[in-house]
Amino acid sequence: MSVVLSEGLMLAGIAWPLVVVGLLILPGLRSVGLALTPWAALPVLVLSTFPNSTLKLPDVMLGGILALDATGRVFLLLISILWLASGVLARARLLAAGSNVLAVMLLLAMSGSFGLVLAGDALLFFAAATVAGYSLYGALAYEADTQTRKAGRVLVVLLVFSDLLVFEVLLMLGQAAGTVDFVSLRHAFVNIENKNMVLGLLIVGFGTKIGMFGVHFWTPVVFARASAELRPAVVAFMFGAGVLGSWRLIPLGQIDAKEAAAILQWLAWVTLVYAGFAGMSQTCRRAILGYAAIALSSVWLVVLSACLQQPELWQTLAHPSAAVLIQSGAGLAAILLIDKINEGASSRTLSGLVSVLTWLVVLLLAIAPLGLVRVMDGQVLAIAILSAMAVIALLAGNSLFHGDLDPSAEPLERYAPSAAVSASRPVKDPYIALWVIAALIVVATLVAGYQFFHVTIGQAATGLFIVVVAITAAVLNARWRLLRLPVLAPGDVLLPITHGLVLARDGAGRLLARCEERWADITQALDRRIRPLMTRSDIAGMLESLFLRWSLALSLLLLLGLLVAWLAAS
Amino acid sequence: MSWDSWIPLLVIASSLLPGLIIFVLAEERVRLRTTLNLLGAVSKLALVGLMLWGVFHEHHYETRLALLPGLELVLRAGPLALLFVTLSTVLWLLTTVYAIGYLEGSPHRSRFFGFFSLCVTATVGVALAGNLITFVLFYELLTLSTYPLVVHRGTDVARRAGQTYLIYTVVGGALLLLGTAWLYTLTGNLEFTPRGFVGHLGPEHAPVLVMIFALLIAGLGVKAALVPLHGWLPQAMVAPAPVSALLHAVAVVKAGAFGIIRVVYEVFGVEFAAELGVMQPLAWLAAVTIIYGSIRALFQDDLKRRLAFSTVSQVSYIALGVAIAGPIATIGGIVHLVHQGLMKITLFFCAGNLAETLGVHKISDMNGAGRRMPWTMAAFTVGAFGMIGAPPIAGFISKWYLGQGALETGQGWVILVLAGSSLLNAAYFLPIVHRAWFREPPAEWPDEHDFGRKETAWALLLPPMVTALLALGAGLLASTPFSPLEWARLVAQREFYGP
Repeated sequence: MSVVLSEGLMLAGIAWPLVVVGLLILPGLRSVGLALTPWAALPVLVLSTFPNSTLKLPDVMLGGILALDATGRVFLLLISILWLASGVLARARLLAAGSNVLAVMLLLAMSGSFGLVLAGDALLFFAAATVAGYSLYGALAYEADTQTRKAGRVLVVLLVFSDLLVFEVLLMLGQAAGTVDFVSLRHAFVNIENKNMVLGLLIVGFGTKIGMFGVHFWTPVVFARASAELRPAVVAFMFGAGVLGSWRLIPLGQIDAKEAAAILQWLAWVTLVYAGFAGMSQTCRRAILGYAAIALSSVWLVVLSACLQQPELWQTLAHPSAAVLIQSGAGLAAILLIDKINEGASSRTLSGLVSVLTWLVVLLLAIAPLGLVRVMDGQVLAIAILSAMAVIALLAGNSLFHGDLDPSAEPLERYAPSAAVSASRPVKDPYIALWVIAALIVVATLVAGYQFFHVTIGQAATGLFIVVVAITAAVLNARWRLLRLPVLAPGDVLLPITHGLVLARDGAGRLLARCEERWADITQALDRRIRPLMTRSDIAGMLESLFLRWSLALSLLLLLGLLVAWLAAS
Repeated sequence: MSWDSWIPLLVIASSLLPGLIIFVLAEERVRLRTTLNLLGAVSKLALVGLMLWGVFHEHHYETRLALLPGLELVLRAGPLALLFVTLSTVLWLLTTVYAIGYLEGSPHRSRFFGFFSLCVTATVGVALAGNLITFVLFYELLTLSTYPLVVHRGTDVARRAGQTYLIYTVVGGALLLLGTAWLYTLTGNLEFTPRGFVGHLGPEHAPVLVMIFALLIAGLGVKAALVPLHGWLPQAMVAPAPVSALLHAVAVVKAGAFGIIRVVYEVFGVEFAAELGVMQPLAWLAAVTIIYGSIRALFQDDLKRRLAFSTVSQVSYIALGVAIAGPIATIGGIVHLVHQGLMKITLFFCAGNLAETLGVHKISDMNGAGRRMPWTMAAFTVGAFGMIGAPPIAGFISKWYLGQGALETGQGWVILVLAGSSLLNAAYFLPIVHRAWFREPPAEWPDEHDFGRKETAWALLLPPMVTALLALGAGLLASTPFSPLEWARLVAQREFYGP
């Protein structure tokens, strides 16, 4: 019975947001649809409490499979909570909106996000990722201000790039496996000849969605510009389409790729250093958090690197990785929404409480990867994890001393730092709560880490010490600008490089237009010579008016038949 | 002749007879003309449905009529023929409904629908042709019946476009006829046979066979718009939207592509053609056309011209699938015949709606069109994403099989072509979708017509909605029995592994 219910909920979880879309667009039922939209993630939240199950859909695409397994359950829980938050935040705006576009985009993105987690085969996963990603772009592009729409364009360009790479990999793995279910594809991956190329394409493809350095351009701009209801959805997309996708396709624990592992380790370090410096140069709170997310992607790279170097590590990393996911995903989304939470804090007491909670979230976000330290103890990778925690703490802490973008202000130049940042910070009393909860966290995490993740006192203390030092550095930097880095506009310093592609396209267009003009000149010159001859005799006009008669057409057909007969006979 | 022998003739007659009657109808006889059009379309659909059921139950539908000594007019309903004839019939019905709405109040409708019916007659004849001579006859009838549609508006631009179209297609037809005649003198046979009928010829005939192949492909490549024989296609966009939809999705380009499939699989045989060494050049030509068409599309501001160049690119996927010469690529090429038809006709219907309702012809004028015409632009969005190859729309399935086929035969370079083409497709379709949905509409449209509370007339709105749903269904439910994919698998099975 519970299996049947589970299968039903799997279908309902993906289909229910689409049903709500139907209600929105049917005349007379729009209000019902709007009322249901914020809660459309509930079936999936319920589903995350059910046991594992599989549902085969042989007629869907090339043989679709829906599956709920242990890995999927963790992601389902995180993503459904994030989408519930999105839905609730979007409620007022959707009710006030005159058109259904935003609601439809959100619901499609929601359906796609759930499809990502429940997909048991690669093509269904890819389809869900496409629907989720492009719908998110649509929701961003819906905004009235041009800068937000530009952020959407950066996202969609990278989505197209990422999807192309993943598609190539799926083709190769699908051809090797003969089917498209994840188990067979992972098995094919183990035995495929060009393993390193496939791995590289996958990491870049999924890394784009996570915000890995080199393909990270969308993260700061989208984080800076996304409206409140979209922020949890963006985090959900990063984890679902990026992290989960890599875990579904890369056979962690089964392949040994030491060269690739070494490259990923270096990439993790580069990501951290870049995220640290670029993030500290930002003045916009959410853009800084975008770089914190980029720094978080280095944790993903470190885990991959560790498992490719020592496949047996995956068995021990799987459990703490799930906890890292939930804690960092929820923490990132929460800290992105601090300004909305603070809007409701009317009294000084409430405002102070929000400050305390905000610092708590910063600390929880920063120490999320702590559970991984135990498994990697004694390795260079453990230092990488600790460094990631420090950078995340530094950036997240620093973000609390900055305001968000003033939505009405448009920057005068494309990458000028003159984009107006609100002087009003979301956290009113950033200094007061810091030391209070630092002490609480030291005690609580030591106990929790020891209890649940078997982190030794030494490891936990090291981690906490580094995080507290980093937060202190953030506070001091905010107070006295200790790091005198150049101030950058919300966006990425490397974005002008991609602008070069736009210039190249425009240049190619101008060249082609010039070639077309020359070709048009040649044909027009020929036309000027030939047309008078035609006009003089008016053969063309006569022929055209004749051809419009069907009788002539049939006669011509008869003549053609006779010609063929003559050819055949001779 | 048995009853089964009459069926293919009846399929031909179901559009020919109404067409001939419509020619002589007065312009004012709107109701009778509409009735004849729809009756012809529905009866054709019923007959094709009967053939599908019959073939599934192993009936054999074949008509043979003596044409010349040693040559017969042969109409045969095989799996490949039925795939194309079903597509043509379904889309003809929808295009008829669309054309009735689009041309309401326009002059010369009897002439238009007369040639419209002849065009579909010819297309169905091309699909059902059982030998090369029958194919050529109906192929040429297609040329003659579509020319008046191209020049229908009667303007100078239309006449010039018609001239260009005629020059290209008549020359192409002549090349095809020459190749056919030469083949007949060599083999004494023109019957389409699974896995070809020229394989028995010795290696001494190889140079001649290569030349015959080149002539046939050149003749077919004109209608299939292979570079550099594609020049007529963008110019033909001057025709009314139903004609563009018909030319680009149903009749002309598909006839060319279908002919290439016939020649490769049922004249030469894919294995023999590969031994002759003609498949690689065909693959390269198709690849160049795919990229060239996409690049040209990128720089067009006129919506129909952009769609025209997109067609140049997309139809070559079919030729590429055929040229890769593997069973999986065959599936990809054949199923794209159907998928591209569904997606492209959706786009052309939507372009026609925008022109007819808002007076919008250029992409730069499309700002906010989605707010004014949400259903039309929703259908356009589905078609556009399908062209890009985004799942779960039909185009993704075609690209999947083409990619798999390329890897199966060790031609990994095709993957790069597919990736490049997808990137370019995204580059020229996504901006249209963005403009329509996310830009502010102008204060006033170029030439807006008021349809009350509806966004446009039902006859204009329903066909693109149906074809968009079909395109989505063909992708999402690709593995259902009787889906285009399952049918393509059946055809590939027959071509590679025997009937």
